[in-house]
Amino acid sequence: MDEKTKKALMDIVGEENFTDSLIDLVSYSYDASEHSHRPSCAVWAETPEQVSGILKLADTERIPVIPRGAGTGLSGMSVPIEGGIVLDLNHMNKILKISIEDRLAVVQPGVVYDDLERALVPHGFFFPPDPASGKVCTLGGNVATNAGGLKGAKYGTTRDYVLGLQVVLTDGRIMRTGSKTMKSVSGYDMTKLLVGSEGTLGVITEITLKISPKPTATSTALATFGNLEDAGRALSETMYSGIIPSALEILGRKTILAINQNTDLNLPEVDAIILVETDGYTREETDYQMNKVIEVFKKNNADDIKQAKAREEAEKLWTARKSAYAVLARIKTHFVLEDITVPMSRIAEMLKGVEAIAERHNIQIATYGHAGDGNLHPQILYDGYDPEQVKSMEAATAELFKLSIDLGGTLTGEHGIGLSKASFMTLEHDPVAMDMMRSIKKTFDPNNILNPAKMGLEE
Amino acid sequence: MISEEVLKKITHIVGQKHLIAGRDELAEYGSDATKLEAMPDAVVFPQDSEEVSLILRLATEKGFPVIPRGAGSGMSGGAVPVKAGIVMAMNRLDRILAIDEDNLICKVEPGVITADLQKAVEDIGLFYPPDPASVNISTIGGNVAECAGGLRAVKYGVTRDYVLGLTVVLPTGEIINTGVETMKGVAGYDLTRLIVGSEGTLAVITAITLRLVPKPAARRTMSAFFPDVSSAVDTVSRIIRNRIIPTILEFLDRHCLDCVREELNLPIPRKAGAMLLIEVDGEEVLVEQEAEKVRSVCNQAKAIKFEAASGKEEAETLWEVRRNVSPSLYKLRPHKISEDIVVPRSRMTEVVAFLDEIGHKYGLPIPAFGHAGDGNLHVNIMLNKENAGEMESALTIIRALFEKGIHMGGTITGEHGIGLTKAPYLEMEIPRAGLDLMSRIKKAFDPEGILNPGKIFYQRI
Ligand SMILES: Cc1cc2nc3c(=O)[nH]c(=O)nc-3n(C[C@H](O)[C@H](O)[C@H](O)COP(=O)(O)OP(=O)(O)OC[C@H]3O[C@@H](n4cnc5c(N)ncnc54)[C@H](O)[C@@H]3O)c2cc1C
Ligand SMILES: Cc1cc2nc3c(=O)[nH]c(=O)nc-3n(C[C@H](O)[C@H](O)[C@H](O)COP(=O)(O)OP(=O)(O)OC[C@H]3O[C@@H](n4cnc5c(N)ncnc54)[C@H](O)[C@@H]3O)c2cc1C
Repeated sequence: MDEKTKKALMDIVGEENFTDSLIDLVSYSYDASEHSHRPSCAVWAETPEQVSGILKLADTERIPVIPRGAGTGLSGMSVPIEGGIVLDLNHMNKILKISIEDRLAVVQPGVVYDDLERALVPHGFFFPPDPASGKVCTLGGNVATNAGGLKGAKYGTTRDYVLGLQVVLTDGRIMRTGSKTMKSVSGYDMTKLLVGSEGTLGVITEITLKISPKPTATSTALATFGNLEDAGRALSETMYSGIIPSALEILGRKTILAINQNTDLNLPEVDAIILVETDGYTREETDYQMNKVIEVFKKNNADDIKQAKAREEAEKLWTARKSAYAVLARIKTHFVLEDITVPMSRIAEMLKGVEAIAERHNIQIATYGHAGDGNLHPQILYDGYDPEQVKSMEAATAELFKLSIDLGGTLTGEHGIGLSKASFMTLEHDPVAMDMMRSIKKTFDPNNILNPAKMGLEE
Repeated sequence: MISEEVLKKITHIVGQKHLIAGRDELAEYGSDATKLEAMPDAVVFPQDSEEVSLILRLATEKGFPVIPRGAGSGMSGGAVPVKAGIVMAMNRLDRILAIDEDNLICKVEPGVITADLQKAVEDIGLFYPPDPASVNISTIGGNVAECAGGLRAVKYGVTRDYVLGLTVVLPTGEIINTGVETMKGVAGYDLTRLIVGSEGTLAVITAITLRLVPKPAARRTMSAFFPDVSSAVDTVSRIIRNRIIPTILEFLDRHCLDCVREELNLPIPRKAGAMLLIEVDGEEVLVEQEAEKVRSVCNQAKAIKFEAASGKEEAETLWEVRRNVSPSLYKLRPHKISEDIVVPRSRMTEVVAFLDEIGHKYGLPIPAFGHAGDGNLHVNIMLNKENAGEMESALTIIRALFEKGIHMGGTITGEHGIGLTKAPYLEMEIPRAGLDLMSRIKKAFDPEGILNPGKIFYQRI
């Protein structure tokens, strides 16, 4: 990048909000995936006008711009794979408004998920998607990836809460979409088109979110199943029972074994553990729901069911699930975390399929995930310095995707396509649908400067 | 006018029986609930995606308009063939293809009547929540194309929230599948939700995968009357602040109450300036608790009368009030222009006061009712359309109303869509950049502009 462009960027954001120091560029070359590439520089924007100036400049000069929140993405979405300018939105971190009467919050994109959570607590409200990365990830990143989480089965994903946006387009125009109301059908739904667009269509500079009353009571239970089919059936029947648990998580055998080898939790070593939580406003209400779920579990041959009596006990039950990612991450030098999603009734088949794939490629794959919406996270563990294992990992990944699609599922339930899954897009989408997506990209970003090379849209 | 040759080709595609070209029968397909009229050249009834595809390909090649049509219950003129051409009636694609109880999804063709689907899934203990007041006539395809809302949107959301995937035919004749058959998915741009609410201007929908939920075990219906609008709106806020999200929260203003009072044997207090209809649903015990909380909130908020229906029949009488409102308004004037703005919930009082004031100024009654839980008000400007002065006043009122709503951060349509009637006003709400993008998206899908021309994007005719 030439000095003139750097100077122009500094004129827009101020010298203190520009960096091209090596150490910064290295940290901006990563996200939480296996990909990395250094940008030419990074800027912190503080206003939509600055974002507009940056995009106009980059568009004229044909320089890639990569919007970035906290960089916790798991598929390389914010990795500047073609260099260019990293546009860091963390300085735009104000909560602009919370209105309980209108049931909404207006925030800047750099607000950290948990900060909004904390601000809503005194009102007894919350923004439900609850990604496991909530301590660090930004709301802008959540919208751009349509983040989901533990509460998906009952509360849906980010998409269901985004009412309106302020977005800066590559030609520098600042646009509002949607409205500050509960619903609107005025023209095409640009809001929902931008949700999950992974920073490839526009830069989000303000978000209007619907918020929900936060239940004050929960009941938690853990059930073990000696047989995957039984576990699968227990899941489907639970969702059918009329009770929608606020969390319904599954841990597969490999995950259980790994946790036992690396912690002192001493989990029963069975085919599947299901963790379930019900929520409401009184313990009576949540227990009532939990009893119904337990009935379903018993009917489907659950071996052992532990019900938490108090909050501490519930938290203990949750540690197993919450430690999975970190425990598994330490076992080998490298890992990839997938997030295929299949119809509920196919979860057992998928879990079996994953084991078969692991065996075939002689690689370790441990699975856990949000069973309540069919979203499974197989975590593939491998040694990244061993070319053989890298090959096995790649082959296993491709088979996982294929199996998911064959079971009527999708490549990704919440982590997005980014770089990791770009070459698999055509597995899921037919050529005409790919064409339509490319035309949409072109409509928004004719010079392909915004987060280029992501989502498999380049031919 | 479409050439004989083209008509012949279309006849060849669908068969003689499934094409109407005689003037008398055509009229029925030239209008919708707006009562606007235009004559199509012909009406065709395809039976599957392949026939739809062949017709659309022909249309793109020859350049004639195609207007998809469900039941014609639209409130913004979406199905009115303003540029003539072929009306494509989806009524023969009326099969429920599958209900998958294990995964809580179903797959239907677009011509299925909304109430028929609701009944089919309720029979097996499931529930399809979107509930436009037109359920008995509207089609699922029309609901998806308009993103229909309805009474239960406060708690359950709108049609968009239930559409997981679609099969659509593009104007060029290509057939694509969008979305997923799973509860969630984020692979690529969300084409599904782009097509939801696109009012038949981007593609013809030929199959729909919908999410279902378990049927709530119990529901409780309640009514409350208030001395004025502000105490009713305040009650709505208090209910939400008390962290109750009812299934239904409907609002009726004084004009509406006056109109229905005589027709029903429901004692509506004379002093009542507003009514709320409230329903909660869920597990039996929980419903009891919530209903009790609603009662105490209403009482705190100066309700002059509160009643909880004790059984199905009593609940039914309450719903009759709501259903009778719209037709009963014709007592006031022979014609009606209905708008469906949405404002932040806390601003509803202001809107109703504004309507009273402006109605008074122009001498037109403007009753308002609607989905208070969403801030969605159905505003009815009552007039005699033959009276040029009244017509002019109505247009002035509409513009002022939209300005007010947009200024509050609201929208000009919450569920009825832009279609023809709101097209001239779209630019008040959507910025230039947004309109540009929308028209380029339209062009990407429909390069020749054959699909439902004249809708959403305003064209001076
Ligand atoms: C331990 C761990 C647990 C996780 N758990 C979950 C989980 O439970 N559920 C889940 O869904 N995800 C999860 N993730 C993934 C990740 O946290 C989410 O994808 C999150 O939404 C990313 O937010 P971010 O601020 O880090 O965005 P980034 O990683 O910085 O960016 C993600 C994408 O969004 C774009 N973007 C960011 N901000 C903007 C903006 N303002 N305008 C336009 N585009 C923008 C970027 O260009 C990029 O394409 C997890 C990650 C980790 C490391
Ligand atoms: C008494 C009454 C009450 C109503 N109450 C409500 C309410 O509470 N909430 C609400 O949201 N609406 C309501 N409406 C409006 C209307 O019923 C809805 O908009 C409904 O979704 C229209 O469905 P339809 O099948 O009649 O579609 P039509 O009116 O035939 O068509 C509507 C639009 O959809 C397009 N379309 C139809 N089928 C397809 C297809 N298969 N593919 C592509 N495009 C298609 C048409 O081109 C047109 O633009 C009400 C209407 C009436 C008359």
